[in-house]
Amino acid sequence: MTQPFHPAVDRYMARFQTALRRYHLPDEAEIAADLRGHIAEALAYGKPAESVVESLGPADGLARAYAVELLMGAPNRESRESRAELGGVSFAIRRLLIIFGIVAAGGFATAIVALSLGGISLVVALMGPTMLVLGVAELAGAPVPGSSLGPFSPLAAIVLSPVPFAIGCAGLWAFWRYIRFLARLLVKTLPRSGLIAKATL
Amino acid sequence: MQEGDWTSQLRRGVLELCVLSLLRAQPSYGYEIVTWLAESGPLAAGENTLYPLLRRLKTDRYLAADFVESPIGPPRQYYRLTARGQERLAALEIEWAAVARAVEHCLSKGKVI
Repeated sequence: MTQPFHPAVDRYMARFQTALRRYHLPDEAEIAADLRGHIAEALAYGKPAESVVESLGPADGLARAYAVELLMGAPNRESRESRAELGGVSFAIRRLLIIFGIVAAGGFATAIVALSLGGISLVVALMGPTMLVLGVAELAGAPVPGSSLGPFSPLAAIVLSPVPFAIGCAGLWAFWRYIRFLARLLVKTLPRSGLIAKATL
Repeated sequence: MQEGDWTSQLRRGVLELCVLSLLRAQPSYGYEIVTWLAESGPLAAGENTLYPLLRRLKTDRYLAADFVESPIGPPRQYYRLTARGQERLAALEIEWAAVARAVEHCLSKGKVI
């Protein structure tokens, strides 16, 4: 997606990206990549580069059109839809639950617990391959110096090695879900109106 | 307001409905949607209107996009309607039918008077 195009297109893209930065849109890079893709489609159709650039209009204007489309009315739109879907009281309860959720999920204690469990999960997950390697090495008659399989026989270590690996992976997956959940809550809650204020429309 | 401006404002209002409706039939990529709309005369939207709209519809999760290999160039981003987009389209179709009926009513009443 970032291969060089015709110089006229590259110049246009540079101007567009500069103009876009003024609006502080959260996904500038994706917007630029999208536009490059659209331009590539038109070029692949055999449309001359100058004509492609001309049909996009001034780069400043296009950046402004993206900003208007993405920023204007977005908070109202979201809240309107949410209110329509849930009704007034349900909407208020939902907002309250989100706030409680952020306090609980984003709290320091929860973060510490989640981080600890994530670390333990990583250790448990690594235990599986380690047991496998040590078991195979011991069976092959070349035990790893300083290592011990504890109460397990080499064969038992090999057979049981997927268990801690699976448990560890499940823990890591849960940790990942927690991080995603937290990130989504933050994105949902952070006001986008601040971004609108920055946009000099 | 000039006649052209009026058409432009009207088109801007209905473009979302048209794009969602076009994509209900089959997924498509940006430039193809531009060419489809160009065939519709008054609905012909410029790239500088359509591409930001596609981006917004994607941000609002009415559309999802997949990259598909193209025989004549780099991979294309195909937009398709999501379940949320289908709900949005159904709602807009109802709105449009009501508006169209109301406008028709006004026009016919104006002729009678």
